[in-house]
Amino acid sequence: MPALTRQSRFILQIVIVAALGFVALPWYGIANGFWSFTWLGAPTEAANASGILQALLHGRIWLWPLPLLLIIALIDVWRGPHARVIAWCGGLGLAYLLLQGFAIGLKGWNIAAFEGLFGPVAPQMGLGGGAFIVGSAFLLLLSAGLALKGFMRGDVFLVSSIAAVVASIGLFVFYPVALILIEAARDADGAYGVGALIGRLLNPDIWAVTWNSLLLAIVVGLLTTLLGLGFALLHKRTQFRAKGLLRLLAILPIITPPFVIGLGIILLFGRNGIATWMMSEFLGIPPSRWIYGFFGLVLVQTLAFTPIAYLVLIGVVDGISPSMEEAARTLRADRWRTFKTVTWPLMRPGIANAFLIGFVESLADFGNPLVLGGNFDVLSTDIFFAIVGSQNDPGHASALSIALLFLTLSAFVLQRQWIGKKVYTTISGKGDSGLPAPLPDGVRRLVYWTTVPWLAFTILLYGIILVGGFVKSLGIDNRPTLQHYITAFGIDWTDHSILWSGRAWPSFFITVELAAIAAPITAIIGLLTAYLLNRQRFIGQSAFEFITMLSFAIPGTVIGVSYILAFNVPPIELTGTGLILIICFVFRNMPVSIRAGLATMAQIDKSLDECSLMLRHGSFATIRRVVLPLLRPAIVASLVYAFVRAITSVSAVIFLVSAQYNLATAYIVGRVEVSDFGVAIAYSSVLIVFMLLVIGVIQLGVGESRRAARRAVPAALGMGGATT
Amino acid sequence: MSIEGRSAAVKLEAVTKKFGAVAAVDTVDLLIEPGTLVTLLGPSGCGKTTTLRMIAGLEAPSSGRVVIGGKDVTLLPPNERDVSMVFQSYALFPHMTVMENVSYGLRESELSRAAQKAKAREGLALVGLAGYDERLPSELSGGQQQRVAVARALVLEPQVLLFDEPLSNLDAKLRRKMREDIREIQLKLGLTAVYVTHDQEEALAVSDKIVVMNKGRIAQQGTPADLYERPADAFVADFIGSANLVPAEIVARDQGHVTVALGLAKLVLRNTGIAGDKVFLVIRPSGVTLDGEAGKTGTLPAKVARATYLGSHWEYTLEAAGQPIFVTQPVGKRFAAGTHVQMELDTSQLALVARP
Repeated sequence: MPALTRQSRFILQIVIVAALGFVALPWYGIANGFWSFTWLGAPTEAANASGILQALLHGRIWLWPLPLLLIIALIDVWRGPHARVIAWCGGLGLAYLLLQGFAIGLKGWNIAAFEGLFGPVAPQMGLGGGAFIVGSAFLLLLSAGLALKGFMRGDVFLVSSIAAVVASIGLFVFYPVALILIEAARDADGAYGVGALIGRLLNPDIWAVTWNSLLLAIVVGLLTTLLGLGFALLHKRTQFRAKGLLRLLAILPIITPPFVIGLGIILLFGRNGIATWMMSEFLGIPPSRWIYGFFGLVLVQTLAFTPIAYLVLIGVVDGISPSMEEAARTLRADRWRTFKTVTWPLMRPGIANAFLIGFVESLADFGNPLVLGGNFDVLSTDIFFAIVGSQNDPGHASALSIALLFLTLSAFVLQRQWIGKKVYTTISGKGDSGLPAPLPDGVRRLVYWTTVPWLAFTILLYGIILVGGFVKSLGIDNRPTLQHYITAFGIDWTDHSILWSGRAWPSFFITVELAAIAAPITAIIGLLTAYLLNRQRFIGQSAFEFITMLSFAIPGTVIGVSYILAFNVPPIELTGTGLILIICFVFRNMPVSIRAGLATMAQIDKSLDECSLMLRHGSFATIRRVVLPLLRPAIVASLVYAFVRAITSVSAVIFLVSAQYNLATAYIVGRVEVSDFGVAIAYSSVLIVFMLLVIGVIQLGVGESRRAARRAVPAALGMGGATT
Repeated sequence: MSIEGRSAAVKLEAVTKKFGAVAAVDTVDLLIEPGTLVTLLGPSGCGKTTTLRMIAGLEAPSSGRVVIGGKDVTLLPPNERDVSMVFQSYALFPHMTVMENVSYGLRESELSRAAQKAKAREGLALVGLAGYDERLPSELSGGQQQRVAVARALVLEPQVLLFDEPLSNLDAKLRRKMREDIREIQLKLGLTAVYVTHDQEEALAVSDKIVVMNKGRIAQQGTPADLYERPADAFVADFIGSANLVPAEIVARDQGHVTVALGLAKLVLRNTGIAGDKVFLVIRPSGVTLDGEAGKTGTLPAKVARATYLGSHWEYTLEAAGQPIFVTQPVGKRFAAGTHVQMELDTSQLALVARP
């Protein structure tokens, strides 16, 4: 045997790991979870057996081709290795693994015709730890084969990274979403057909709801853009004193669960709200339910998403070089003319961008319509009720999802194709001297008169939410009490231990635990993707970029439905586990991590990487010693963001929670639905304060790069897109 | 322990690099002898940096072979080639000290930590930066950063050292000093060096051989004197040193000489074997003497269009034979704008190139 090259050693390691996975780990999913290790007790039983035992003892002979391919790869390493053989072994193995998973399910053959062809087979459950290891190994073999062929200049690490990112996005974003299309094409009898799809999409109910959502999104998009622009101008172009308040306003939406604003509005304007009571007491307006519906939703979504528009537009206003305006002034233009002919046209693409972001946020919003929608149906909540309500009609939910997806994807394509090419403002490292022209008086007055009252209103709302947890029943019985906090977060000391007696503790702990697991994974995948996009050139890169960016535009509700459709049955059976929640967190929040990584990497000179390569470091060593240390602000931003968003997300996870894995937001929504506002508010306040503390601690811990991190967090958020 | 040169030859064989349909480098053949400094010179977009990056391994050729020290490295990544590079932006790692930067390339080597440090110190001493070990790049001046970048490349004792416009971020005075230092180190260690620049003066000053590139192809290669005195075509004549390209006709030729007609004047030049009668006469600004008196043989009448005083010399723009000619003259004699003068051409400083 010739001395092993680096590539051969790598392939050999993969084959060994795959063999271990096939021989030693349970092939199928374990009912109590892999990490319970209960399978160690009876490792030969059908439920616990490894791949090789399944094939030997339990009649699952269709698993034999998998080890056969591994042996072929092993022999080829001995003799070469040959790029083509290794790549084919990996590709065929992966394809066969998936194929057998889809072909043979819980009741044997999934496709009846195969039973006649091949005879009956033993049923199989969802793939488990062993299958996961073997599948990953085949993916790596495929990568190693491609690298041997010269792809990515023979760099196995880079090829494997691309393969891993593509495979995971494919599996956890595109596969589930594609299933929605298929589900919508299934008629009542379970047969698939284009007729059923068309019938569903032409259903007038869907059109009515789509129209509602579209109308709401356009109005909210316009209002948030106007107010956001006002705040951005207030911040950057006026002498407004309390700019610290604006920074607080910018950070609030990150740490607020999306429906909390809706709760605050109910406390103010609901039938028993404070404002309602005052109006009926002093003005004689009888209490009504006017807040539940279109106007309430416009109000609450505008409150919730204005900060995001503000963050986007602050970049736009900042990006206008003052020297442009100064040039206009020296060319005899007065203030108004400068604003009209220079400032405004330069801002216009950015403003259109902010509008689209508000538009998509409104479409994707789930929490607020849930608590405040009343009889005004919108797509995101209708999808939810089609799945979990008494209807339980996945086909209808899928059709609604297609309508929602169509709207958000259209906005996304517009944003990329049209606005992406028109943004004039650029971020250059060079400081631009000169002072921005002051706003014309009329504009300045308008800015003050719209933004300041709005700011006061927002602060009032948050105040009410914080106070509301400490009174019996705000608006009805305003006596102070700690009862809500005790119900939710009570702690008893028994003789030997602490008893977490509060009802909120289980969901709180699970939420924090899952979010803490998801955050680093999100950051790693996101930053790796950003690295591949920004630093490498490869065939199919623009397609790669497109699919990663496309996942920005998929609303959480759609992801939730699609996960239920995709991961409820073998081969990938995840519903009811904590894992599916982690996966959901990771792929919902990864786009922001990608953006943060891209933004930071754009500022790191590419020649640093090249120089490291010239200095005898491979791409992995370069990432470790050069890219990662310089990327620290983006890492912090990604971690904070992923953690916080995992805690506050509602739309996708509400489909996926189970009795064992209930999440904080789902618990709160449950309280709201039974009108237990006290506990809901108390829990929300605790979440907000908890996340403020976490952000504070992380920023302290990171020390000197604190400033950079703080800059990166809002910057990353500002590019959010559909995030609720 | 000391830093040594282990120079090797670099050979490009029909190397082509395409970006989409555009060939940035088009079938370039080039041999760089061991121990010489060769400059790739040309305007921006001529393919010189792409050529350098293909030698470095940062770009893969679309076709052709790159051979370093007799070994085909066309498919090897940069970290497996025995070359190192000084970047235009220096590419100093901002989060590492000078010492960490210089010893960075040695970290993947077999050397012990102490030996790495010793070698890095050696490199810093060679560029005159001993004692700067613990500084951060941000605490250094531009010239010092440049020296750190050179030291970092040198300590690897590469077979080939590459420079990508290394001086373009420095001011004029520092540039002159640095290029002399780089040349001195290269000669002292006997390094093979490939140097990319768009500054022809820099190229003339440091090179053993200059390769002029235009639109992805090699326009001409040779010693600095070859290129200045015997340019192969109008592009090279115009790019190396400033030159006036004046259309002229060859009216007679014999074994050793050609006679060129320029307006009414006739000039007899050495025959360089130029084909065709339509030529450009290459007149260097310093190859002209102006005289107020008329009537000498071999002179051309001209009119001063503009005169500029530059302290060390005068610059004149003349009108002659219906076209502008730019010349320099020593201070002393002065010709005001509008005066008629006689141009006396120094035939040893004249060259002919084909006129398409």
